[in-house]
Amino acid sequence: MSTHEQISELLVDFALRELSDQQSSEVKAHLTECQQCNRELRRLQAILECAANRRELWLDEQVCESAKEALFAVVANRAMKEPTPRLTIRLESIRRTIMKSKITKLATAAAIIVAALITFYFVGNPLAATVTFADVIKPILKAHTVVLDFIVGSEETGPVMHDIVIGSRIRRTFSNMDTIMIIDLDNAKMLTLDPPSKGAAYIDIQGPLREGTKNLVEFVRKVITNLKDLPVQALGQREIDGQKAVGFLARGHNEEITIWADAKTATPIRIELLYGQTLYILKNIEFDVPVEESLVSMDVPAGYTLSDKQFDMTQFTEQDFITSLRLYAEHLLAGSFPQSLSLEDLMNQTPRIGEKIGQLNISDEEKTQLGMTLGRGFVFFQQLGPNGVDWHYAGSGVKLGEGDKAIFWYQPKGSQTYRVIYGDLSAKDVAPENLPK
Amino acid sequence: MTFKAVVDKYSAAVMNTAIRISRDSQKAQDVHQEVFLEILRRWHKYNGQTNWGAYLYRTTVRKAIEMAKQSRMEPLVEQHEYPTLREGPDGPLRTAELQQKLTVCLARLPRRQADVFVFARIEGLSYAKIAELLDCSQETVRVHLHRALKRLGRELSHYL
Repeated sequence: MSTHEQISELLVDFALRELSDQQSSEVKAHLTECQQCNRELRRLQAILECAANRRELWLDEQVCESAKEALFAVVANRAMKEPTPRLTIRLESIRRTIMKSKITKLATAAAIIVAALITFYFVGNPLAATVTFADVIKPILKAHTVVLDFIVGSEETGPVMHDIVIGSRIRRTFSNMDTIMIIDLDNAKMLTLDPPSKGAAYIDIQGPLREGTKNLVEFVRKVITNLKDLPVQALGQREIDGQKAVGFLARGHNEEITIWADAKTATPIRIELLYGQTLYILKNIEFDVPVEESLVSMDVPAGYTLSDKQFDMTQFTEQDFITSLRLYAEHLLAGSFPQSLSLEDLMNQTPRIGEKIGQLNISDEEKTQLGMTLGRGFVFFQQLGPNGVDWHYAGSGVKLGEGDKAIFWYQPKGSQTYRVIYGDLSAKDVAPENLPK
Repeated sequence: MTFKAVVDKYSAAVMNTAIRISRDSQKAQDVHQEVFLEILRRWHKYNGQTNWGAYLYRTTVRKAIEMAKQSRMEPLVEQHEYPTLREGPDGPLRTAELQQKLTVCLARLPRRQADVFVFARIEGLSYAKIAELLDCSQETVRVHLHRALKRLGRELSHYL
């Protein structure tokens, strides 16, 4: 290598003043006789000078203040929007369309149940007291027994769940599948029942899954407790399911709750909770009505056969998630990946994928394993956000096998690199600067 | 910390970082809004341990570069007065014009190189501070900066 080439390699470091005294002297000596290196150095110095000039740029306080005001105006404007009128669907009509086909006993129940275990993670903030809407929230906060229907996402398309809540136990049934789920939150255990096949199984939800599994009513209570001292917007009167109702809107940083209550008794009729980007609608609510305790019994009902399979949901891996994506693409979406990984979509699609697994020409044991893997894949995905993991889904429009297209990436806790999953479902570590644009 | 408290505390810092990258007060305001609205959308993902100063610094730089990338074909709206550079080998180039070209080329750099260049040469941070912000070693910072400057020199060689 000639002296010119050697010095040329040092010019960037020289411009950045990163060379030793001896190296600097060598560069300076070369510069006295090399026009090319001189030009190159002047380019580099001009760039650095330009960059350094920008340090002097400061905005006037008033400009900063008006930017802040504009931001708060946008935030307030978004939050104050009136609730969109939604089509009222009677639950009975939904239940008539319940999928009747068997889903291979309990083989895929685990996946379905995990999809239904909505993981509520709440980040609340202590807030100063100003106005309360105590009358309306009192029954929600105090009731021991609550019976309700709740919908995840759109009222037109979201799956409807029916909950009977007695203390820390919940009996949950679904509009789009036959499975019955009884959850014992105190002992982190679930009993799942499949009425068509008379199958039953216990599922352990210890560990991370337990942390994220909350009683929906308790979750609503927590949101209300955190919002009740904020200014509440009165929404006036509206007729809901034939009842005159008065509405209140309370808004937090990441949650917004609208409660419509009977205009005479102040008993809540309908609650709309917007949490993050997911909407939960609670309706047909009854507080402290007499409910048969046996409905939330953890004993296997007469006539049901308890499965001897171990349903372990306590461990989940990236590979489970990858297998879940494969199941979706191969068996449900004609070789494409889902358009989104929204909770509403996942909950709507899970029974169908369970059905597909049930139709596969494999043994019951293999079906069970696939169902379990699907469930663990959900858990893996659902715990990313609440654990502060940065993730991104880009699978919409990508076909299974397209190895050059990244469909999902996330940065594992403590890692300096990202895990990137591609359309051929290969996965590798990628430095942040090399992530897909 | 509440969302409002985060905005109150860091709003001006976000604006000033954004203006140094975009060099346009309207664009800086757009960056400011995007950064905080994104935080609001993801509010549930944060926990009480979030280092808002560092997080917002990184996010603002990233967002400003991304927005510069999207709008790089637009003409420069604001011209700031700077002293004219000394005459280059291929003729004089006003600093304002070079500044615009620099923003365009900065937006084309690989993500980590662009971030490091902004922190080191526009924000004037030490390698140690940048390493802490980006959770990497000082040597990594040095390498990224070296590559960034080399590439910027190559990209801007037609203008200088």
